[in-house]
Amino acid sequence: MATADPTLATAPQLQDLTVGEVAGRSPWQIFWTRLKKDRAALVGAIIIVFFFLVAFLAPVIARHVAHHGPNDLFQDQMTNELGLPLGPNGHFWFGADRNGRDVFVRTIYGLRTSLIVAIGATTIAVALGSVLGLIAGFMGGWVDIIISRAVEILLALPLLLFAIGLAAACSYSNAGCLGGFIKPGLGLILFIIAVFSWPYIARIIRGQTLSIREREFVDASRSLGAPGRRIMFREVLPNMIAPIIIYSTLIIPSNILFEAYLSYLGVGLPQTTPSLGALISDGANLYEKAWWLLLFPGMILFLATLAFNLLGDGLRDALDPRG
Amino acid sequence: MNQRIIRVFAVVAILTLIGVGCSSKKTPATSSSPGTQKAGGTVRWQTDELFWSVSGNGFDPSFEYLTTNWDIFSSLMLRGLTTYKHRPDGLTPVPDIATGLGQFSSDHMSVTYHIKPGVKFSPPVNRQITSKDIAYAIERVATTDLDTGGYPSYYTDWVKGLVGLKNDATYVDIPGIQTPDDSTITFNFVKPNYDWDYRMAMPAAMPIPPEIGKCFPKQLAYGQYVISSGPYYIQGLDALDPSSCKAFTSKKPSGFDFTKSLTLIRNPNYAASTDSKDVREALPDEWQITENKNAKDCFAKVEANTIDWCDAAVTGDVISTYESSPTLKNLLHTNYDNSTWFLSMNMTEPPFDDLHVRKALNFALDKAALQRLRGGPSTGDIAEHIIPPTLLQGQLGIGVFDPYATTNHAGDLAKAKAEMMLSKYDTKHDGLCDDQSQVPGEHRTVCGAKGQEIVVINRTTPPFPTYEPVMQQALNGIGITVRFAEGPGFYGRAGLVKSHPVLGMGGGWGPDWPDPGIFLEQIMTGPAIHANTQNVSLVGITAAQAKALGALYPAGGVPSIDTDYNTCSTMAFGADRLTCWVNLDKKIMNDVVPWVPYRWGKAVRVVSAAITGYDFDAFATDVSLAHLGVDPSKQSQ
Repeated sequence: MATADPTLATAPQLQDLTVGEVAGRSPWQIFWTRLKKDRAALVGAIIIVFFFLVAFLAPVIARHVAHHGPNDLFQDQMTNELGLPLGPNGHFWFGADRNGRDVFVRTIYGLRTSLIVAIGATTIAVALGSVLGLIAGFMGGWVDIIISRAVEILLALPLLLFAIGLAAACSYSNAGCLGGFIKPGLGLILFIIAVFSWPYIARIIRGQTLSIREREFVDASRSLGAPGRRIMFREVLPNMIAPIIIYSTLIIPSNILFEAYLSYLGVGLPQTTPSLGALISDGANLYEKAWWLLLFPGMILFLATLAFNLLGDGLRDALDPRG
Repeated sequence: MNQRIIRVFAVVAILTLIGVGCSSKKTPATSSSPGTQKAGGTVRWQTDELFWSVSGNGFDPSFEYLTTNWDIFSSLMLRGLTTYKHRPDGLTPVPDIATGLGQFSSDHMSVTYHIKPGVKFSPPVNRQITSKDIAYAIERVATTDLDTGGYPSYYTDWVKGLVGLKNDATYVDIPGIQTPDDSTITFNFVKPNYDWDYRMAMPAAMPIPPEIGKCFPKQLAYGQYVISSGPYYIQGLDALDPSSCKAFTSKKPSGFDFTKSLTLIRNPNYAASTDSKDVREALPDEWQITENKNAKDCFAKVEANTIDWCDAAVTGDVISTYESSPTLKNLLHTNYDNSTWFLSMNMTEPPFDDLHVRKALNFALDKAALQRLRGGPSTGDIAEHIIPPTLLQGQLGIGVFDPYATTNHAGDLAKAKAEMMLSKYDTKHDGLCDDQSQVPGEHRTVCGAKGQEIVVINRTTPPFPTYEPVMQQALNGIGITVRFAEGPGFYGRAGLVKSHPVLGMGGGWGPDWPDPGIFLEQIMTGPAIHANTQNVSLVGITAAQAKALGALYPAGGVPSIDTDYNTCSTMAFGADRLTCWVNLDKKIMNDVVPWVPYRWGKAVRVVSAAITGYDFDAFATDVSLAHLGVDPSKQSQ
């Protein structure tokens, strides 16, 4: 019945802790050790790095490898007399669309657009959501009530309908909306996605803050006379880096898809700015005659969202203190 | 049935999805002369949009503005004083229930018709049609409380004192309509009229029995009870009790479920002897119209002969499937639909207030590319001027008058730049628009720049978004920087004067009746300009109008065609009048240049092998229901 005796069970562990190698590792070392063991996450990270490189180098690849720009029209060579596009060949690796444009070049430009939109919108959403969630959780009272109700109202809005309306209304004039605050084009899409993404972050951060603000080190700071702002940003916020990183990584793929939805519905970016959603939308109208229009952009979109999700899951496992 | 041209106004917007048309050399020779086809059978017709509900006019003949509904009214259900032959060349009115065309007074200030004896309403009304039924219908069109978006001005602008029915939907005597006896009707005008025969062939001018009409003093109700005067009527209407309004409206006809289907059967009171086989053959015994939102399934059923007509949008890929198959090819029919598709340029907005810039864009645009994007030659010819040759009865046909001709219609940047060099907005004289001064209040520069682009208003529906790269190439080629704004309600945005629309690339226009005058009236004349006008290029806008509506007004003014329009439209129908329109079209293309016309549309339709006598109706710009037959031996269940 040795296991019934707690002293017997704990004694060797204590001994290990005092002499073992784990004791000297920082949280980041633990995180990295765990992440390295997660092969799926590493594959995700490699794909993401590759996609970032391709997206960044899209103009170079277009000019020196494909020799076509994303909006160069080759209707004479790459469409038939009924206006139907021709498929992949030695010069057009992913085939052409109805305007005779190179689907390969448009796909890598589309990836670039999707990444810019997703990372940009996520950055805005995370910054906004973290600060507002922190303030709501830390200050409580009427500030919390106002921010929390705003979050709930935004979450209750019919997201896609609202986004479509906003995109249509604000893209008509160069003046944009709200006195020029929202400009048509990329800025408008970034704004729409960010506005609907920050409440998720804010809710999570608020919950974490409610828990952390009751911890001893916060009490200690407070009793030493530290002002609330300092406690929030110097004491509480650093303790939430892990959830922020995790949720950012998980929100990026959903924002890539959100941009794709908007572009698919024709309210995203104009035809002349390729995006994965718009490419898939074009392809969906014609998939029986031109499979390449749907396959390649769809595959890239799938891989990009999968890679971010795998990495996000890996980060969560590696950063989770209970793991 | 994504595709119907709802004419003028809101209408043409829908054209977009649709295929339009007129008979082309590709149309199989299926039409037959009257009397050679067998009568009988049931036409099974499926549509992806219930056309009686999609228009928003409730299938009320007084206000209905969707051409498929006009097709049903004019060919199957209703007869007016005049009508058409319902053929591709049926461009001029012929007498219907009138004994002849209108007898105009010498000053054209009045016109008289006489009604044939023996023309009766369908059950349950069952009585002789009189001149008062026509008079009632004309007053009903003008009744504002009942109007859901029809064309009342086609009558109220002309008939003396026409103000509409009383509140209880009963007739009020006016000086503009006289019915001295049951068979005679005279219209008195406020100004000379020459085209009344066309206006009398519209569904809104077809007889309505006042004793039934007064049962519907509110909008959108009568459509489900339309009393026929033509060869077919709504199944089950005979079971209703016309003795009182309460009794009549207590039930609905069994053959019309507004959310699902419509069945038309033979009208026992229709006397073929009062009609002409040249106008209506009325071959099938029954018409069954049902909804099928799955276009693929709908076309598959046509191929299997389990339905006879799939009334859904025929897109480029469907066309290619049919054209590449020897068996399916015969099911595809394309016909010119009298429409012109165009890029509109607002002539009050710089740089398009300069004639040379407008001409340059006409040279620059690759029209052939746009034709391919729409689905190839089956969907229309490349437009070379404004009025479709079909409306000009063959004059100014293809290749006859193309002031901005380029090789293979593919656009010519050299010619475009040469024209641009003549513009005051090309200060460097290098063929590129380069004036970057701000246009006050518009957040853009004259020629457009990054972040300061000229907005091109477009539609969201296919194929319009795919046109954008072609448009951009043409505009960039002459130094103009643009941004495309897609959205619903093209005409609402492109014609909203105070919002300073500059370019619109979703425009398509067809006439309400096959006459060049009515084609031009709403889109090119000064009086048609109002706050949200169809004259999106603002042709003929005056300084006073511009000030009142909040538009810019260029120092050199804006060209007008009003004088020429009035001259042509007040000429008697005939060769001289037609020549007048031809000359006006030339003048518009040379001296006004409000558009870049790029396609003369065709309607594309798919019907089964069981259909006989397929033909096209130039009035309804759709399948000629009046001459369609069906061969039951080729139908499958």
